[in-house]
Amino acid sequence: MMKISRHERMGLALVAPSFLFLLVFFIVPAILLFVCSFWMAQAFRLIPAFTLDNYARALSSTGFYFLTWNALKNGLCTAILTVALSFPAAYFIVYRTRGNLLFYLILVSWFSSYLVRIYAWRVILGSNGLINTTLMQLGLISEPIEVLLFSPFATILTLTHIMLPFGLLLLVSALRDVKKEYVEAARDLGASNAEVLTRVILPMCYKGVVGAFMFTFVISAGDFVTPQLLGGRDGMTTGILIANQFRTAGNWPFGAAMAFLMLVAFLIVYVAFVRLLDLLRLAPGRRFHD
Amino acid sequence: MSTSNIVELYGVTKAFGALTVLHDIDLGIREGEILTLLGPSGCGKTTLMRIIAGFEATTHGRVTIKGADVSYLPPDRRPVNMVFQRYALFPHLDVFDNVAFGLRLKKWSKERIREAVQHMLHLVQLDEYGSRWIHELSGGQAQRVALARALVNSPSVLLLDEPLAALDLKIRHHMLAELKRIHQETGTTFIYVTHDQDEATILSDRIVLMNKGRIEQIGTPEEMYAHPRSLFCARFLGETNILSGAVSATDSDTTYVSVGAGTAKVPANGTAVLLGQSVSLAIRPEALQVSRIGQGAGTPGEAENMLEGVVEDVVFMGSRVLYSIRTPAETIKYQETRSVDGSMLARGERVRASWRPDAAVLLTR
Amino acid sequence: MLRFYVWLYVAFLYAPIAIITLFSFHSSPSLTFPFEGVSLRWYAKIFSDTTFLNSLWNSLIVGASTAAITTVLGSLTALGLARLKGRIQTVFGLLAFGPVALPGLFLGIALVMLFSQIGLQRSLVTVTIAHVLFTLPFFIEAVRSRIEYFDLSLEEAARDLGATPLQSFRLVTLPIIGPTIGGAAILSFALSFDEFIITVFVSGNDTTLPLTIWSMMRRAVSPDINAASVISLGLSIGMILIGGLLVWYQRRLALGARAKDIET
Repeated sequence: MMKISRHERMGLALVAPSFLFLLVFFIVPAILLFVCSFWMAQAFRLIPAFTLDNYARALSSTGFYFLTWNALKNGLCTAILTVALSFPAAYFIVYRTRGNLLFYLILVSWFSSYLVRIYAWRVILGSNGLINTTLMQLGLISEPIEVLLFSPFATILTLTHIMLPFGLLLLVSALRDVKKEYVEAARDLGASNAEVLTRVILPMCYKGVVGAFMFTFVISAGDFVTPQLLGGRDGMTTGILIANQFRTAGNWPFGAAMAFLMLVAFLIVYVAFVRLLDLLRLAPGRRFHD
Repeated sequence: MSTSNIVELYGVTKAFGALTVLHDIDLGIREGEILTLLGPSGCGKTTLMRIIAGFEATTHGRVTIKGADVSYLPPDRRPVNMVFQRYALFPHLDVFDNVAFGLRLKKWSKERIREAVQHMLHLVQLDEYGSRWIHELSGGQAQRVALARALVNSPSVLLLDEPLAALDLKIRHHMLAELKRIHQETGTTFIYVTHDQDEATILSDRIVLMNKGRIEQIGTPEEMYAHPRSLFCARFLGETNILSGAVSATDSDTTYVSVGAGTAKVPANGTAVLLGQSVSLAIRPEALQVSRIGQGAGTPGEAENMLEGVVEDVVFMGSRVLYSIRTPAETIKYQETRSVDGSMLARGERVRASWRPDAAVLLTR
Repeated sequence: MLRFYVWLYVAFLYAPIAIITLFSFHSSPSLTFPFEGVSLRWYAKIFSDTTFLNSLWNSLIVGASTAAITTVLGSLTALGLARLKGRIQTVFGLLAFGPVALPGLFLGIALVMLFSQIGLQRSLVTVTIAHVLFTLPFFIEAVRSRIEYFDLSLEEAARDLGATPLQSFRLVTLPIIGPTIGGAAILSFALSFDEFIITVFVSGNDTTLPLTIWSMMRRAVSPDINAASVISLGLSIGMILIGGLLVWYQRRLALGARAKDIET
């Protein structure tokens, strides 16, 4: 049997309260939700039974695939944009500045309220919104550009705007682990700036980049508020469907089944993404010789 | 400067804002030598090395390598490679790929790379380690990989930034011997940076002693040890006794200095001194001849080059014994090799310490 | 070149909220240029709206409660995690991170499930529970590295000098990690104040500020939303700035005291 030192016992005692909390309010509800996905609902009442109907219903509906595809699209586009746009900024902060002022400035914008940002973009992008009216006033267009709002464009733009600070945070902490020494060693051995980036920095902060990507993907793919307010009719996602089941429509088991199917979809994306990075030789741990 | 110099520094000055770290450094580094930049923390040795490597630009002054002005060249374009203090070995590549890194950038063919890397691993005695990952290496092994990674690029100059700082004592001595061997086999010029005077003494062909951004003295370890040119140099390398006094007389080949109650004779070394000028005499502990009062190694009556005192402390250090002797002038240190029969001076014994005139060095600063 | 890009990035982040703030002071209801004049009428309007004021008050209460509970649970956890090693530590670390790894949607519906099964009515209590769940990982992450950095041998030294475990905690550990915990507590408050997605599911009759703003948004694009948004915005950012300043000031004091000790 494993010997637990006094130190460790104290440690276990200290984490026990929050462990209990997480058990009751996180693990148990998750299990409950999973169990519920096999139940049935009748006239707003839950009937504990075992049935695969909910899953079958979801998987046989083309609507479900369409909505899930929208959700995945939102997630992937947002994640790609967020990581791609934040990486240069993170690089600048870690290697080209001293002190944290710029970093904190960007982080503070994270607290500018999720809803407010959605509202702001709705105001700016609308047919009577800032962009359209200004362009019309300047005589550059004669009709408002409709597609700015209530479109996937608006959803992805807004989601990216929301996720940028968080993505930056994760990337900065990943890049901070790649100390200046390694960059200097690479330069000393003859690497240009681009070569330092691809052969040293990226492989070394791989975990952080993957983390930033996946986090952003999961949160934006599961987001149902932004598509609902800005996505238009073609922008509906599974998330909206699930939310509706739990707020208005009342078929919880169906909603739960869809939620777990979404999780499976996320997992598939994760595995595919890691495979892709490996194929592109960006993952560390490879040998380039025989 | 001499034409056999491979690196030359002209008037190199470096300032960080209001703080000047290097003042007008002129230095020539000879091809094929091991030159050590030695000095206490903050003396500027690391900055100077980074300027040669290209990681810092000079505020004023030029750097040339093999005659070409490299002052504005970035580090990836200079024929210089560096071994970093904490090795900076890439954790995402194994040993082979780390060593091959620079060669891959030069787009060498696979066969050429394999040959060069294997040759280099053999040189540092890590033949079978090519497939190991960096985290699997010990400190000494990592150091050798860092060395191999730098040397495989056949640089004109190899810079070593306190490479032994992170190693245990025993391994350090072994590595110093290894470095000397590798230097002989490759013939590459080494520029070594350290604050440890033992390393500098063991390893170097020449030492550049630096203090507060200036060069104090340049010379072979032997020269620096036996003929320091300032108090700083005398104190930095090894133990020294410093006796303060004033010039009492001079003649063509001797200077007389009044020290405490007596006088010391010191060969004139070419520095001009004035009568009455405050000077110091530097005497190495092992250069003293010490005997109990009552028995005389020196002729009685010769009151020159001699101090009388009481043994205050005895420190047994294995092969040597170090004594502290309190005299009216100063407390001096005397060192002798341990005698075979184990006899040592005892605390409280009255002794007489004397030295040959040429065992002392006259210092004016 | 890179510098220019970064300032563009920052401008993009702040532009929308700058615009909203600008138009919250607009004297006319229009949300487009030209700008007709400055006025506080929308603020006056929103402050006379009792729903708004109630939800603001609720948000403050929930935020404070969340911060308090999270601080206690989170500090204990961080201190505990530092004492655990290897597998156990990794497992706990991952578990603590769980609530953030999933979208708020999942947490929301899972909690709704739980509360209905155990018969707990949806109210500010359930909202607080959800917020604690959500802010706990952030708190632990913010404090963990500082605590790991904190040398346990300092505590052992105190014990060796005669301090009881409680005293050693109070006199040695707390002053050193105090500022970090304070900052993390304020972080939790701000996160709870802004939280919307999970709250949508677990709230009952009493609403929080984001929920009110949301229902205002769904009705129509009306100019007093601007004022409401700016108030919400201002409070969150204000809190974070105050928290940051506090931590920074405390750190400076600590460093200054140490430097003085070394000089004399």
